[in-house]
Amino acid sequence: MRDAQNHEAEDSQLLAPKGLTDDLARLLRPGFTVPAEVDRVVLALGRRRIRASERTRRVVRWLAGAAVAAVLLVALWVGTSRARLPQDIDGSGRVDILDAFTLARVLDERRAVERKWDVTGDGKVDRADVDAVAMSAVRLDKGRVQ
Amino acid sequence: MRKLLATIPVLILLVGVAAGQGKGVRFAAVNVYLDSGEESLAAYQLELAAEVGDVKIVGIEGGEHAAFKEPPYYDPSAISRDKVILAAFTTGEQLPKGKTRIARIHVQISGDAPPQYAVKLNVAASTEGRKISAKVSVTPQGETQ
Repeated sequence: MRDAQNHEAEDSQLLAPKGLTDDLARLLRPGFTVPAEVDRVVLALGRRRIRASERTRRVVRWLAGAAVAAVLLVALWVGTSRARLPQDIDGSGRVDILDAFTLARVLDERRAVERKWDVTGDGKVDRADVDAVAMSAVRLDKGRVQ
Repeated sequence: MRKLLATIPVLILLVGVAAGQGKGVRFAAVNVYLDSGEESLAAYQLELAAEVGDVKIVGIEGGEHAAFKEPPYYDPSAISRDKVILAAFTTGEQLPKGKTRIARIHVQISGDAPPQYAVKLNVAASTEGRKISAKVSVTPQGETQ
């Protein structure tokens, strides 16, 4: 351990002779000088490339954000449009026989009806609307039976 | 050689007769049951499909209990197809409990494969419209030609 420390101390005192360093500097010096204009152009090119990659990154980030927003909007639209179905009497988000059953009970008990329950569009809410809701529930083209 | 040629029409005839002796078109009924246990059954909706066999629905009738005697709601396009959604409700007070036949489906069967049916209960409800758990089952009845 002590030996290693001694070597380190010796190494740090090692200096090349001045003649050798001068010769090496002369040998490795480029045989030309880079004009300041070329330097500026190279720097400008570098900066432009960096800016371009930053722009690409920004666009990618923006597109990702837009995609997420679009997915959220579609999900929201699907959710609300399902709830908006006039046949969805009980507001469960789906149309099934319980909607027709609910409407039939409202009519039987002579409770107040809502205008939106006029599924047939004949200006009144009656048994025909109950049947229309029930028929919507059993429609096959909804792809419910595989 | 001539004898061999003479046997060909006979062979064709025999093959034809054998094919004719396979199961032709026949009719059967499928009983659909719901078991709502201790709960009164006021409404149901289910899906039924023939998963195996060449089956066409030709008619649908109601159940055994007075509350569901009328044929259930179904899409008329289900007739001549192999699947149907059935639904019915009653606002009456006399409601079935336990296992009851809620519908009978008449089918036309072609081919040799014995039909197999898949049935799925979408919803069952009590008289107040409260969802209840129930078991749905189907039982095919004898076939007639």
